[in-house]
Amino acid sequence: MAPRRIVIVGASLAGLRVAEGLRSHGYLGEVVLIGDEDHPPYDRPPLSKQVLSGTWEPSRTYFRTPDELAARGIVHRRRTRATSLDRDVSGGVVRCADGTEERFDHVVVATGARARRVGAWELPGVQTLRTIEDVRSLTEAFARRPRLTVVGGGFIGAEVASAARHRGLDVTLVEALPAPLSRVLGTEVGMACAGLYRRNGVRVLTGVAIEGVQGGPGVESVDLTDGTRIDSDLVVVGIGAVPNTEWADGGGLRLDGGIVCDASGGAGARVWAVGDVARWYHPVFDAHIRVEHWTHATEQAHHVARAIAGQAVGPMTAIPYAWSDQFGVKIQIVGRPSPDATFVLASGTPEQGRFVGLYAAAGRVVGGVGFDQPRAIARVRRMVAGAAEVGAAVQALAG
Amino acid sequence: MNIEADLGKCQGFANCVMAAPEVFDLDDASLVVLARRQVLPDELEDVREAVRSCPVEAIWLTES
Ligand SMILES: Cc1cc2nc3c(=O)[nH]c(=O)nc-3n(C[C@H](O)[C@H](O)[C@H](O)COP(=O)(O)OP(=O)(O)OC[C@H]3O[C@@H](n4cnc5c(N)ncnc54)[C@H](O)[C@@H]3O)c2cc1C
Ligand code: SF4
Repeated sequence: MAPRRIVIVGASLAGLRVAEGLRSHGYLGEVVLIGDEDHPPYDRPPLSKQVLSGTWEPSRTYFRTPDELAARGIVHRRRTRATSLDRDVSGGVVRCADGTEERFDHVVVATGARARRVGAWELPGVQTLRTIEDVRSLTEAFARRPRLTVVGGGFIGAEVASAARHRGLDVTLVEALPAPLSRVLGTEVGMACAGLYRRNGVRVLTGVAIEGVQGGPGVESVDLTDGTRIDSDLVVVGIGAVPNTEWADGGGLRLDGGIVCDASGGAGARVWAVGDVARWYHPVFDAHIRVEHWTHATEQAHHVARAIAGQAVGPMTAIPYAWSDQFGVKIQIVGRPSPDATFVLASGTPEQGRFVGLYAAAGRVVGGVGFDQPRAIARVRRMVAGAAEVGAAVQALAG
Repeated sequence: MNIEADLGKCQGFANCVMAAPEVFDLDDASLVVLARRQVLPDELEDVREAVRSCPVEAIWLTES
């Protein structure tokens, strides 16, 4: 029997795309989108880019107005936190913190991830960036022209540093590894990023960890393990994200650093998971991977919406792709770069800005990175999909 | 099917280029350029992915 009621938990990019995808594939039953935030579904990438640098109002990130959702027959329950998932033979029920229950024939878990925090560093003036509220309070803090220390040289930390420099703030970035972004992109590319940040006036400190954050009530300094004290008024912690799976524990799902799914997003009978919370099996990499990228969330949502709407879908093979805008450079990443893979420069020079690099494992291209090279990266994406031989790939990109 | 693009909306993310490089490109001002407006049948899946992957909904398909 066709499902009559679909409940989607998490009303952000992935959840919204499932809801709309169900409609565009002709699903006529009920669609309920439950989310704990007090906004229409909104977009996160601009938060650390256009919004934080002051070119967009936060409300410009809204994907839809409430009327647009209603017109598509999507019931959006705001400020509603799901607290448990119980399944039975015909579906199950999602229970919410306000005491309400939502029965479902199918449920889609799209609860994303939250910024990782460190309890010992909690002080007023120590912040993370994940939500509209976060970007609002950061923007207010920026207006007081603080000395900013960014902890963690990942994408969000680097984008925060970029936006802060754009506003002329004094910025220090601390990364425990030998170079920023090196956990994902390896040391060579990380060094190129460090150079880019330094040329733009960021003080970059690497290979050193945080001893503690001092102050009271507000932040006064960030102390490093090598004894360095960085006088600071504002600290942004960008040390990764934790998938929001706890509420669904007890639903009989496999939780292992994300909700473990098959290659089509199935996490169990009538249960699906999409976006940052999900760990799908990926046939190209022969592994379960959790991908925290915008386009992967939309592709997974599209896939699951089709499956629930009754279309035959096979495993999803889309090659992960992400972008980041930092200091005027568009960084693009495809596949699964990793510090363990062999890095091969295909064109350009990292020190000078524009370049394309490949990551190879067992002689095959498994990932790529480009600075301001979208066309080449589009080709690399296809090379990853086809597990191209790395020597041939370098030649093809040079030609 | 035809592709439409709104250059006033385009933010130069290049996500469309990633999905369907045979149809989309960026110009020097980092705005989307269409190789042609008409979509060939074997490009349709890639173009649909491109439409889905544009964060600002600056490109869409219309019936020709
Ligand atoms: C600042 C920032 C910049 C980024 N920039 C880029 C970029 O440039 N390129 C890129 O590819 N990706 C980027 N990303 C990643 C991208 O935004 C994510 O991959 C995307 O948001 C994932 O969408 P999602 O719907 O899976 O999860 P989320 O966006 O995390 O949404 C999950 C939603 O579920 C809600 N929720 C959680 N638990 C519950 C519960 N129990 N009950 C009800 N609701 C709940 C949350 O409040 C949230 O609204 C960025 C992310 C951030 C934070
Ligand atoms: S993805 Fe959208 S915003 Fe980006 S270049 Fe293409 S059309 Fe423009």
